[in-house]
Formats: sequence, structure tokens, C-alpha cells
Amino acid sequence: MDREDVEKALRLAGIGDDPEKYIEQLEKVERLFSQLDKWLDEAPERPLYHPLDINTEPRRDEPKTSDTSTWIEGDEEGYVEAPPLRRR
Amino acid sequence: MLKLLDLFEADDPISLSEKYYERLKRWEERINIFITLREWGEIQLVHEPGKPLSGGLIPVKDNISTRGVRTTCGSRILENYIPPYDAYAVERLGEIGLKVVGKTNMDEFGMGSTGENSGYGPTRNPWNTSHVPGGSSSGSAAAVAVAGGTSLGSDTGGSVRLPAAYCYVLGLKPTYGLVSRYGLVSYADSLEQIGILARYPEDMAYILYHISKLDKRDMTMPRTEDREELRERLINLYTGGADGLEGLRIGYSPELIEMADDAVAREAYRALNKLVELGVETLEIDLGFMEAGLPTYYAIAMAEASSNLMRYDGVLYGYMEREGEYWSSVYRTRALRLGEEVKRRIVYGSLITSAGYSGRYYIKALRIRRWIRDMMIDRLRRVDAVLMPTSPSTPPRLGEVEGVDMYALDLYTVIPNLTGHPAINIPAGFVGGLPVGIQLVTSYFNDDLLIRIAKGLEGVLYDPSKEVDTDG
Repeated sequence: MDREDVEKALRLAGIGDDPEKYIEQLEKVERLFSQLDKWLDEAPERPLYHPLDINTEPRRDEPKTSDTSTWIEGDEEGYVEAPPLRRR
Repeated sequence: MLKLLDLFEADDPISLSEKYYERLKRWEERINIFITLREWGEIQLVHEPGKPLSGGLIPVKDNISTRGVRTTCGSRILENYIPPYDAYAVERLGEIGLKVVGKTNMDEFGMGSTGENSGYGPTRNPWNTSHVPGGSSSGSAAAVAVAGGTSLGSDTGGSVRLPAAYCYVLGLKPTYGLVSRYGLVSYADSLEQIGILARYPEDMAYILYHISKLDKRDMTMPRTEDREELRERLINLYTGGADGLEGLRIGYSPELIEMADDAVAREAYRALNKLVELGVETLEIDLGFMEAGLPTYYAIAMAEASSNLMRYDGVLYGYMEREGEYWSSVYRTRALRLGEEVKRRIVYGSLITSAGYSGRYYIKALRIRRWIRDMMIDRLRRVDAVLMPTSPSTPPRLGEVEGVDMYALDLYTVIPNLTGHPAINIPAGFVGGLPVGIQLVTSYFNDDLLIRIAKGLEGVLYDPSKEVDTDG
């Protein structure tokens, strides 16, 4: 990651700040994240963990399904029930 | 030192609360516990029949929504935000008669481990005001340390347990999905939970029983019988029917404990010895996978933060610094009104989720998270709970650790947030006059076991009535 990346991230994040402030700590963050490689070999390829205990994968079909999704209906207590997540 | 459940039987609970309030107010001037401390006259305590704790007060962290009471999340960008609704947990506390005494100081949006990253000045550690109280629920922990009772905090990577350790109080992060997050301002949704800080285990069990009722507005609350069975056990705990600790099996890893400072590690071993005296069986287990926690946690937390905090642009919420065209105002508002640590996490979070980088860090972190979870589940099949220090050190001095260096304080606390397991801090003692805590982690919906262990160690390892030296 370099200065250009930081400038791009600042634009994405909508923060009008001096990129220099982020570059010094960026090295430390990269050092921290580079440790991930050390552990990756230990972690087998498995469905990603989801806090709802549902096996998920990154969704790639959002644009297709969004056209056919149905409206959520309110229940008798006036709260909306979120639709169940689909197992993949 | 107020025990909340004493209000049940008190002839005049309101006068007990008045003393509690005066104590908080006295300390507020010295250590900056609150962002908003309500005036006594404004709270209007009255006895309400049918509400068991009516006349009682509770401090609530400033990222938990309170209807009509300013909720800033410790950020200057929300300094004028007054929520139109109560968080579910606050609603439930109202139903048992507790009123919000004030909104406690915190690291901005929960991002910090020391309590120094608040837009409203740092909270100081009541046991030694030159030191930090821990964060991000800094004010919630300090309030319980100086005046007793209980308070609500939130825990994304240790934000309840770390300040609890540094302030010598109990701090519980419940199982993910046990307590509704409705009304908790999001920082990293898949990691955070509302938690409880308390002096006495019974107070903690009572509050947890009430706020863990199923809420349909939080889709991350599993509709499971485990919840109701747990709640029944909590009733047993707060009514004084807790079983002893004999026969429990508690795991520990010497390598992990010894990653902490020597004096802190010694306190962890002292706690293990006390447990053995109480009839607990202790077993060495391999917890080496916990070292993967910090990079995994920070990659995921920053990614989620960058998404969650996009909404603070001065348009939908909060304050806008107007300058020229619309986008210039948004850029300026976020640059000036968000704190340095928050901006850092948003920017790095945007970076690691952007095209070209997500594969390098974020996706790897998700995969390792799954592995960590599987490993923790495996270890908790062999033992009832695992024990380790809550923090690798005693509370640092104010200004001693900053920026990315601060992340190391979360070494022991991030794992239960990554895996969703419940975890508690139990005060273990003092090193050089500064508090030290131990952390215990157990299996899902077994939160009551942690409170039961705290009860077993009461008077053996820690003294819940220990007063903070008024000279600080």
C-alpha cells in the first residue's frame, strides 16, 4: 500500500484529510495484517463463519435476486420479520 | 458501595439512589465518568408499584440509544444527536424500574482500549488517576468502581472486559445474539454485544436475565431453547441458589499466560490456585491459535467500521461543517468531526475492502476467523471454561500507548468476539496499586457459568465491596 492508495481510500471514505497522517501508522497496520499469512496454512478451506451460525459465502447474485424479492410483511405486533437467510 | 438488588428490600430506595448519585457526581468532577450526567431533579425518581427496582439508577454507555437523552457515541460528529427511541436493553431496564442516570464516557464509537479516544476528554482510572481506566466502556467501568451498582457497556473486542479489569469490577460480554443489539449504535455488527459491568455477581445475573429476553427487532438473536434454559439458570443465580465450583474443569495455556507481564501472569496463576482450592480441576490445553486473533480481529473490525460509519456525514445525523459545495462540506465535516483513531480505522477499512486488497487481507481474515471459531469450540468440548489474563499488562499511564501500538492490549479479549463465545472479567488483585483481572471464556449460552465462577471466587480472590481510595 502506498500514498496513492491512501489518497484513494480517503476519497472513498469521504474524509478530506492529509494522507501523510495515515502513512506512518499504515506500516504498522500492514505489519499486523501480514501475520495473517502465517495462520492461513492452518485454516482449512471451509465455508466462512457467520455470526448467525449459517454457512455463508460471499454473495454474487444480488443484482439478479433483487428484482424478484418480495416485500416484507409486518407481523401482528407491528414489527417486521426479516426474511430467513437462504442456505447456499 | 451500592448492591443493586438491595433496592428490592430497601425501605427507601430513592434515598439509597440519592447517595449513589451524589457519589457519582463527586467522582465525575475528578475523573470524567459521564458525557451527559442528568440533573437529579430531571430524573424524577418515584416509587412505581410492580417494578422491583423502582427508584434505582443505572449508567448507560453513550453508544446505546436513550429516548430524549443525548447519545454522542463519544464523537463530536454526534454532539447534538438525541435519539427518538430507547434501545431494547434500556426499554427492559425501564420495565423493572431502573432509570438512566447518565450516558457514560467512551472511546469514540467504541474504537479504543484505553478510554482516551473520546471527543469529550479521557476518563481517568479511579484507582490511580494518572492511569487509563481501559476502554472503550471507560465511564461505565469507572462508575461501577466508584459507586457500585451496575452499568451497561458494549463489547466489540474487549470493550467491557478490559476496562472492567483495569477498574477492578466484573465485566461480561454475553454470547453473540443473547442480548438484542436494537438501539446499539453499530461499529462492527458481527462482533459486538451489549455487556454488563457490576460489583456483585447477583446484580449481573439479574440484569442479564432481563435484557436477554428475545427481541424480534434483532435478527441476530437466535430463537433457541438454549436462551430460555439459560434465563432459568440466571434466576437461580440471583436468588442465591448458585452451585459451588466443585468438579468443574478449567483449561489454561502456560504459553499464553506467560505472554503477559510477569506480575500479571502471577495473578492469573494465583487465580488458578484459588480455583483448585475450590475443587476445580485445571488442565493445560493448547490455545496457540489465540495468537491469530489480533490481525484477524482488526482486519474484520476495520472493514465493518468503514461501512457502518459512512452514515455520519452531517446530513442524516449530527453536525455539518458547511463549506462550499455539498461534497466539500461532507469531506470537511468528517475530517474535522471524527477523531483520529476513528478516521484511521475507516480509511484502513476502506483500503482493505477495496478491489485489489480484499483478497490480500479481508478474505483471509474471514477464513481464519472460521478456523479460530472451530478451534475454540473444540477446546470447550474438553473443558468447561478456559482462563487467561484479561490484559497483558496493568493499566498504562495516560498517553503511554497510542495509535496502532494500543491494539496489543486486546491480545486476550478479541477471540470471544470473533467466535461469539461469552467471556467475563473477574478482578484478580492489584499490582503496584493497579487492578489486574482474569478472563474466563465458556461455550455458547453458558453465560451463567461465568457468573457462577465469579460468585465462587467472591471473597476468595476478590472483594466486591472494596472501596476506591478517596485520595485516588
